Amino acid sequence: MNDPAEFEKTFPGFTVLSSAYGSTRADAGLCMKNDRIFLPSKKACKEFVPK
Amino acid sequence: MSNSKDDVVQSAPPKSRWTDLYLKEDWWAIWLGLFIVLGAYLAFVSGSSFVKAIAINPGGLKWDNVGQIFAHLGVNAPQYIMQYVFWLVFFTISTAIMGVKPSKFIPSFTLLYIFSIIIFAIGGWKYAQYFNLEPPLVALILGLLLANVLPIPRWLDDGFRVEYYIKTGIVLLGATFPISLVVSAGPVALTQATVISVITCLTIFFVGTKYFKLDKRFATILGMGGAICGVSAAMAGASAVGAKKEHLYSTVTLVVIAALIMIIVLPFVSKALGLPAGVAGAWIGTSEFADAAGFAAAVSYGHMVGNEASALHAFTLMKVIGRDMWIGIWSFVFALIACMKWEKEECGVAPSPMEIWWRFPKFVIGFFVASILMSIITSGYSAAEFTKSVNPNLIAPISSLRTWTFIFCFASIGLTTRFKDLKSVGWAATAAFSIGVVINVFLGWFMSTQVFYGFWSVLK
Repeated sequence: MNDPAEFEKTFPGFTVLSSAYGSTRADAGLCMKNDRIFLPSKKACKEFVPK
Repeated sequence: MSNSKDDVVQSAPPKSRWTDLYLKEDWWAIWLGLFIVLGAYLAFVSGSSFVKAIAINPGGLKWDNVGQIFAHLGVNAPQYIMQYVFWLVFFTISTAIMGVKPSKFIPSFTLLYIFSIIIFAIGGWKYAQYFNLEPPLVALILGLLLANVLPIPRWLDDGFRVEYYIKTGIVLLGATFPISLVVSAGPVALTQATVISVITCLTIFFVGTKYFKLDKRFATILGMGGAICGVSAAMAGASAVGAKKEHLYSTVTLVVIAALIMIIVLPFVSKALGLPAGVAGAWIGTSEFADAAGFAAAVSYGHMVGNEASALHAFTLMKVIGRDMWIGIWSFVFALIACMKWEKEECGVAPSPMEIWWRFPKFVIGFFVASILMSIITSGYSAAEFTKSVNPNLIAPISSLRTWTFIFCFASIGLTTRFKDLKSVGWAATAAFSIGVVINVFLGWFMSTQVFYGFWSVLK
């Protein structure tokens, strides 16, 4: 899951001082299966759904 | 639970980066910022006062009777309406393209605009400075009160885009930041910022892992959050090393709380120490965790001592040029370490050096372009012409519009902070992070007030 709106909702307080629409996030998202944060170009499983 | 090799079928190819030009707010900050700079320049050379007119704000009124505010707003209503429409159209279209619904953004931004007028008006009270009612602090505290006492609907957060507003403001700041200053002061800022960032990050990492037995990935993102660029750096680090969701939860909580405390404490401690504006700006630049929070503190202090320019310039040199620009390199280095040392067995694909570019905070490009453009434009004027004509008709309107974006940002920080939503943090992470913060703040104070005092104290 790397949709920016969903990413922001997942982490409370995230938008106080950051943004999922910024460059520093690149395409990072949350792996729902393993609960870890990755760049899809580094790791992706068959369930990955890109934004 | 680790991600087994069987689950990683192949890496998803990176999507086309050209879409970033309209899907990332960094680029929209550049488009809007440079549009304003070029529009202001065209108005200036053609003798039009349009941009100057819509750059109006009530912050300089020095009123002592509330009726004066309403009289000012009444007389200048057409200008305020035009300005509101300008911001609304640009921000609504750009956020809609990025995926934010206009049906939520428009009412939210409208409330933010009205709130910002109130903040400006408070700052324009004749006795505001006497009571230290600095607009950034007023915006933050009123916003916090509203967000935590009233039930502000969550969907309103769609208009409180802290980062988008501060990035736009930083691009506009570039237009009033001589490129010669970047060249002459940049190396000192970079040296000071790098020394402090490396020591702080390594302190948090080693204290966290060796003494408090934190997971390496957790300690990494705590270190990046505390030493480089707050939540944004922590997020970049999280994806670089494959951190867990709860690691980022905790880091966000710690960074947000520490940053909010610093916004209030740093200006007042600087005032108590009698620091020159440039020295305080440099200290804030290495002590604060995020651009938004840091600008709030630096602008507040600049107002307190009547020298906003030096405080802003020193802060920008230290934070934007000394720290922000290097997020990509930090992420790449930690991604390499994670891949080659921590998770050798499960590392699917080695990190690409392109990460350094992908994660580069692109709004900094807009800052440099605006600075170079304006430096070229103004180089053709004499000092007398600059003072008489260029400053009031070109620089001042851009500065005023920049101040609006800063106020939008500072108000949004308070309005989006809901303390009850922040996840709780374990004592070990809190201790490791706090030790890093103390080292960071002390080193910043030492280098700004002792090692480089002569440099920062004369910064214009």
